[in-house]
Amino acid sequence: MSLEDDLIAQTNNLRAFARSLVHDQTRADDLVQETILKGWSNLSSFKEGTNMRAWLFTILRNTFYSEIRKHRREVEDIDGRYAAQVPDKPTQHGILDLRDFNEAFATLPADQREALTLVGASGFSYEEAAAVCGCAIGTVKSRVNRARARLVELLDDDTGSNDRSEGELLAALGSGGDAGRK
Amino acid sequence: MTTNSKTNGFDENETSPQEVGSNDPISSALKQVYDEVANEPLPDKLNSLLEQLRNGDKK
Repeated sequence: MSLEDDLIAQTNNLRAFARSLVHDQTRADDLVQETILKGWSNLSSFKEGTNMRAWLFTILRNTFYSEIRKHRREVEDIDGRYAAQVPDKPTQHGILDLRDFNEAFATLPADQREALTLVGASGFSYEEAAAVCGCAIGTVKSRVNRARARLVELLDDDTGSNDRSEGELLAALGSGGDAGRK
Repeated sequence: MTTNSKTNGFDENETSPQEVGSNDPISSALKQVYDEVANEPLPDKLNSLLEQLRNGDKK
């Protein structure tokens, strides 16, 4: 596979990462487009045999934070549009309601969302995630732990106020580690 | 250029952290949301861009 093909093949992963940072779909796709163009025009600086996805995620992340610095209010999901776009799916045994999850996820700071997405969904090691984020491995671990603890807290609260008869969510959360539980 | 040179040199086969297990509800939901987006068909705008790149229009 050529470098060009490898870059193009990462488009779907870039979209998924972008949506964890920029909840508005159109903006996320704009971010992906900009990332692809930057990557394409700078392919000569990519070291063959290394991690193309990490390289592109770094470009995407840096582009995202540059946008935040320029247009902070426009980039942040202050009105919960992301959560509103997520299709509502019924709760199943041991599975979180995705709308509840996304609403909680959207409240996390961007640095925690990206750390959790990189490590928990994109399959990066802590070391790789730290390089993408330009920070220490311990910082990534801390962000992941804080994000997970906050999600547990938020989803626990949500369950309490939602009065789900099954009580499945609480049981499910208990099975996944107790960090941050009250 | 906004790339981070530290990204280069990683082993692509390195495994994900064990601490972030795949069996707990948060990890499952996170992966489900991520995978749903990753498996969506690309929008026309991106397909058009990729087609242009493949044809060498923007290199």
